[in-house]
Amino acid sequence: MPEKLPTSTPRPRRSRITKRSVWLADGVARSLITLGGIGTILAVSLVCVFLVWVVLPLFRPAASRVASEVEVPASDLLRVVRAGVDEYRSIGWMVREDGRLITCQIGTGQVLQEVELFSGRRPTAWSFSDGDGIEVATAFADGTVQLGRIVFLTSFLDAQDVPEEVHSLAAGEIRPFGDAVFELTPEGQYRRQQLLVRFEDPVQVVESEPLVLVDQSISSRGAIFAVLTASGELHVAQVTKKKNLLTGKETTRLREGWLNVDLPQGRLPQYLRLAGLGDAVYLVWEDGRLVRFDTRNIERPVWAEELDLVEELSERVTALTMLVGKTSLVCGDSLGRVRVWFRTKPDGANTPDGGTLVAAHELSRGGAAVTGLAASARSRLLAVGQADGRLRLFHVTSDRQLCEVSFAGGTAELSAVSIAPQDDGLLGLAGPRLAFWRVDAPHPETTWASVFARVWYEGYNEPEHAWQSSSGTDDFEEKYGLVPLVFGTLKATLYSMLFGAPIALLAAIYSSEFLRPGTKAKIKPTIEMMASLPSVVLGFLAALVVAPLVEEIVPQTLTALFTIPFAILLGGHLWQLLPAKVAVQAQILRLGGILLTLPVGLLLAAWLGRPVERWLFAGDIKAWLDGQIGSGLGGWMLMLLPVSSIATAALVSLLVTPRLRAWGGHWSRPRFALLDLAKFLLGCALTLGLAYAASAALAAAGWDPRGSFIDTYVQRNALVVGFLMGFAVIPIIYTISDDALSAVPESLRAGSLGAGATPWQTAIRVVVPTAMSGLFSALMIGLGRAVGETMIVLMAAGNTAVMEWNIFNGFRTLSANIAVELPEAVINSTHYRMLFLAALTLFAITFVVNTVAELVRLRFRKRAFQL
Amino acid sequence: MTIVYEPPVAAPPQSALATADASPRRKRQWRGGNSVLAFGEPLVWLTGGGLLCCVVMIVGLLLLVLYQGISTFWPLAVVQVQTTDDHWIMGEVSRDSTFELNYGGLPNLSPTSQATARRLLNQQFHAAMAAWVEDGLLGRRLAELSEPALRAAERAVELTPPVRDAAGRERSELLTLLDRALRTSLADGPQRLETQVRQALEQDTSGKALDQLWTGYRTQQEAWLTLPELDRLAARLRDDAELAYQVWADYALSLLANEVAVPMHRRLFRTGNFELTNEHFTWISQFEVAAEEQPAWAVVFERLSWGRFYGLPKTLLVDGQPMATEPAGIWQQFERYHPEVRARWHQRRRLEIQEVGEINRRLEHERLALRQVELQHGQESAAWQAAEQGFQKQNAELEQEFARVRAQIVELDQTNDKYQLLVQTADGQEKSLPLAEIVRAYPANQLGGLGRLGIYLSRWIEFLRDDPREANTEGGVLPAIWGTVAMTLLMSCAVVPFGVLAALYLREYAKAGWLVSIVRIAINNLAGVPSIVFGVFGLGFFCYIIGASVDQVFYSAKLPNPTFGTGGLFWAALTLALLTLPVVIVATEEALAAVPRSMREGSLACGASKWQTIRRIVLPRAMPGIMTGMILAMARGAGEVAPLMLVGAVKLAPELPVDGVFPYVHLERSFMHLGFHIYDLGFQSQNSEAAKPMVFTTTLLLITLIALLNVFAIWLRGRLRRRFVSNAF
Repeated sequence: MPEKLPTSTPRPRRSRITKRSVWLADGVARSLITLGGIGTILAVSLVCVFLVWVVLPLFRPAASRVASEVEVPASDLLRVVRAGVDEYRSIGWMVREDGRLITCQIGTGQVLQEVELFSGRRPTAWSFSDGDGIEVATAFADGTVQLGRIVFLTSFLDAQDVPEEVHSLAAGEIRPFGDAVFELTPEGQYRRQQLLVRFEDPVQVVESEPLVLVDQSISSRGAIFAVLTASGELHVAQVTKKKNLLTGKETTRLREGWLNVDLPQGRLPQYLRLAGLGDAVYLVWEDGRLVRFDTRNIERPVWAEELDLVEELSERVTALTMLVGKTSLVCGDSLGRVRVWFRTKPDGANTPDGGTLVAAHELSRGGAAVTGLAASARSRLLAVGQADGRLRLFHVTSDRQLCEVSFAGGTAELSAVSIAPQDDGLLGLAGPRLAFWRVDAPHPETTWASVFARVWYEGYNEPEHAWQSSSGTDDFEEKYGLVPLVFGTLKATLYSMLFGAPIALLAAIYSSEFLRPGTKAKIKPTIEMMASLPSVVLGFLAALVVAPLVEEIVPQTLTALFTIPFAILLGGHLWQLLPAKVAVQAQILRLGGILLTLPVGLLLAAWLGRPVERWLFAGDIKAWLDGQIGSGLGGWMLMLLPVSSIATAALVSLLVTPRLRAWGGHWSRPRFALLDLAKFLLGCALTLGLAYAASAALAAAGWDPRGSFIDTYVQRNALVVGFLMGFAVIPIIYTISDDALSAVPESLRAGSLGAGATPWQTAIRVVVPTAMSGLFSALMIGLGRAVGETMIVLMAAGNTAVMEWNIFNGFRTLSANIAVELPEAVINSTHYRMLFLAALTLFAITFVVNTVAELVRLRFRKRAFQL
Repeated sequence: MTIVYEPPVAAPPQSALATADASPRRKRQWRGGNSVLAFGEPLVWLTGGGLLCCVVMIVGLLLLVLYQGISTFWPLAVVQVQTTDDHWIMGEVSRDSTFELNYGGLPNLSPTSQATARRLLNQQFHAAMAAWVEDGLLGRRLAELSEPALRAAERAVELTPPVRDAAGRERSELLTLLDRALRTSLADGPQRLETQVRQALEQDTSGKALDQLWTGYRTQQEAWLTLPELDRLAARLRDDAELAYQVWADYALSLLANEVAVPMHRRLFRTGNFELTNEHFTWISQFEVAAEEQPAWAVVFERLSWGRFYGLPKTLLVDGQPMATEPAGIWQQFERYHPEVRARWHQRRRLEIQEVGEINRRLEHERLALRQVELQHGQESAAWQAAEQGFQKQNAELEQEFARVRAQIVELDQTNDKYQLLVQTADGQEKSLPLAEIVRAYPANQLGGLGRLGIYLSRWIEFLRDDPREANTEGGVLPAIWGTVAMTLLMSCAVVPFGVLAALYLREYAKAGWLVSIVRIAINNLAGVPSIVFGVFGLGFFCYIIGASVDQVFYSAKLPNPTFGTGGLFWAALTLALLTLPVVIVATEEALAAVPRSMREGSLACGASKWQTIRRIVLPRAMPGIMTGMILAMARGAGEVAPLMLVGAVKLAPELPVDGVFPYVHLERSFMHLGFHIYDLGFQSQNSEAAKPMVFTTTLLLITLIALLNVFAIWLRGRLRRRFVSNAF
């Protein structure tokens, strides 16, 4: 446009109608910006929505529906000792007590195969356990035991590979052919399932005496089984197989031990169970009496303890099973109660192995007698069948009932129940009827209580908060308690704020009230630069530089926390000694003077470190922290010194200073300053004396602070994290507080100074109170940053999920936990969703903290405008 | 309007004193003393101390990183040390420290050094004891010790196997017994021990007698601790007061000895030669050194694998023939042959990466095309048959091509293998190093200042230009630089338009009301939401949901290997964009708000439409502010690591995200990142001591990058403000 100005041609008449293109552009811009703006804001809020969306399924109740209920012809289902279903939920199988295995189609009840397992020999006892397939142990009247395995072997075949006879299958139809069963899957493949039953040669355990009970466990030591003879002999045996490399012949070797069980009134027990590791045998009588034998040494089983599973005299134990891993014993009784018992190791237990059984969970109470119990092969799910035909599914650890189903045909007594291998179905047998329910419970172990309250995990002595998401063994139970992580987060925040907040606030006061503008223009950006330091740098410095350094000089570090403020205050008192005139002229040098006190403080700490260690911590602070040597005195000193210094300061300013003022107020400045110095030094001595007296009294009373805020020293600890994370939050708190202090109207300062107040009085009585809400919001925002900081804690906090306040120990925070575990978590698994819940918790904490800060800040701003 | 005022504000202390005086108002007098309190100088100093702590910490930290980062690559002299137990060690001194040698540290030493150290300690022990005895302090100290000694003896008993296994009651019984035994025997304990110490001091001055006295008690106590049977132990405790005394005396002496320490200088030698010694670094204490020299022809070899090698060149072999046998000659020959060998090695590597990589890529492409046909038409269809034939033909061609390249590579390798350098280590072992394996070699003690500078600079160039070696502890960080830059640029491309759109909407179009205030507060809050939360979102939403869907639609042939369904450059950039969005929105909004209302009104009054006003008047004025926001966002994004760990940053990326292969920018690839590199080196490295220098240089690089961005932003902000000040008046 400017180039048009010089032309002298007659100016075109200005059009008064807005061009269409302008309208168009305006409209397009308006809609685009509105759309884009709202879209962006929505996208940002999507973060929160998405987290919630991922987390919600964790707490959704389980769903169940009847898949089928049919009558199985030609079989006596009341005599079934064990039933089950295949992985694809299409074939059911059941073993009758006479040794006959029957498979049938779940949907129709059509019998597919019938197999005689022992060709007419009738077992006297059965035991089934989940392993590689179903591990079976059977005992016979002639004193032999036969171990075996039932497996469904599955293969997928294309159309050209299957025999003619099954080509005509419709999708979903099942047909037996030869020794296998074929099914056409919806994907157009043929699924061939072959039932493999393999029994090994019988093992003679006792000569010509009938065996009445048997159980086996497959552990890393090989197969172990336990049997009870009719005369009350308990035999435990470990089976080891050796293959001869030359002949290829397999030899079986038994390592066994036995003992006589004391039979009250000659009655035999009803149940025998062997623990998963083979280290305990449980015998349970019908009246609830339980005897545990310690079989850690298989050749020498010993009596361990005896207790009563059912307190009521007239009631009976009606069902007994063990959870996966065979550590927990589940006992159902005639009152309809289901209780879970496992071994704990409390202090002072007087059993040979130091363990006692406790009833940790009680799942249901009341209702008809429990007639069938089945544990899942992969999780802590438990199916409970009752005499009134109800079938309920529980998750043991979280004490949660997932669903309840019952037969449509009324209140039939459930004779056998089973959980499908993938935990996605329930099988129930009642009379001749067989029913199958589909169950959808992807996250049965999580409830609000299991995440945020104490949970009694298997093998723990008492309910605890725990986070432990992985382990080497298969039957390990993941522990998803968020509380230790939240605790770690709070601990990190607390210690870093303890270090960072005072420094940042003091710095902000000085820089807004006492710093000359020229210097401030240099110092403020320097500190703000701290904010943009990547936290990974701080983390690596914490872990590789600061942690090893601090480890070497623990007493010096602790001493420095006290000597540096002391040196600075001492410097201030010495400065007062200068005559007023000189002091005013030397104002410029004040910052330099302060700078000088810092190395003095550090030197003092370096010099005092060893003597202090010798005096308070018996010469070796790490051994002292371990609790090996020394008394609690040093620890109390450490904790009480700040308290006593505050008390002394209050005492002095309330009692001594007014008197001093009345007494020596008219003295000359240097003379009074000398008095003030003396007061300060005496105050310090008083602080020390007070702290020492209180500590000595507490230590003499037998209280030891070790075990609370101070305890065993670990290299990566909260002290180091506190330093470096304090470092990370200082710039934020500093900047915001400085802005808040600087925003206090100049008129207030001028008024105060004009009324005769000194700059210090103005700062502390006018400016700081006015800016208080700003300072508060600065602290909150700093807190928010500390809560979410990841890299520093990840690298320097050791990452063990312990719950103790010990400043010399590490912790695991929510953020570090996510960073460590999320890359390995399987998508949509409970672990994955729990980590999302951790993220959501973090989000919620920071969001609340920041919102409070923002609201306070807005209020402050309004107030500042009013002034 | 009421002014909210705290009462004490209006009442300075002087006036309080003045009103306390009931007498008629006197002339106000200058009270010097009171002014001391009123100025609150010590407290002002405390606030100043806080400020200076911040400044000192940041400056100290920067100086530390700067010093460590800059000094790392400087080549040091190679020192050869003969230890007292006749080991020879050669290497660079990577750092030194002083430590306090005490009796507790003895078991970690080799037998010969142990003897030397014990002698030193014994002397010190003797001196300390002599001083105490002379001052009469020993008796008092021993009396002080009896209480902790009691506890220590209790502990010793607790650790004895039979007691440890005993049940609670028996154990406490035993402890009571011990307590009684110790108390009765200790009545004259300190006195008796002092006499013994006195005697030992008189025997000899080397401290040997003192040491013997102590060792005697130690063996006594050890024999006692291994007593197998509980009842025997109890019986002995009951009867044997002498034994109790010995337990106590051992503990007392060891406590006293604990205060004896000889300050000792030690150095950490980077000794290299990992394949021979199984360690990269060795600590050598000063007292272990028997002789020390700087061998003239000690050569430092930086190699492709196994880390550094330190040794003296013995023979240069070409094709098995010794070309030179004395060091100067060898060095001359080495300098002649090494460049050509390295050139061949580079050629080989280029073949491997470019040509073999190209063949593999084509092979993979063909395979995927076939798989695509299979997915579309089924495996037995005619189309598939045809494609399969084409594939086989292509495959055969590529195999031939591959064989040709392979042959070239083998030939180059064979030529290179002819050149070998025979090197002798400090302890006389010989090792043959292929010249091709040597990245850089220099006779450290022959170099002058300029030579060192040359090595120093070449190391920096390698650092900035090359790929990492040796699990990232050697070589360069080029891929990490590329990754960081590409990711940051991509992020800014995503964040700026949307951030500006959102800010424009909020500031210019949205009706101001409670809704907008809430949105504003929410956006401010998002700036404070932890970055890891965004990482979680990025992984769950971008990678697992959007990425998996993209894979289903466009990359089905590659499944089940994810293409976009896992962490990558694009998702990382988007995640960080989301993270930095609040920064940009807030900065842009402030910039928009800073445009004076008058200018807008002027423009509108001239008849411009709203969009014209925004485009021609508001945006240009706000541009520097927007730029500041962008740069601040880039600085934050470049330094953020936590979310990247979840959405695509990896330890070692085989391919750069940007290269010469179509489509040049590979958004789906995982990438290396300087910040993640620091985390990986500092925290997950096997050889953390060797990784340390590298961490510092990488840190320096990252901090420099971020500082530059920040300085630029601050400068821009300053300019912007000046402009407004001049515009406002």
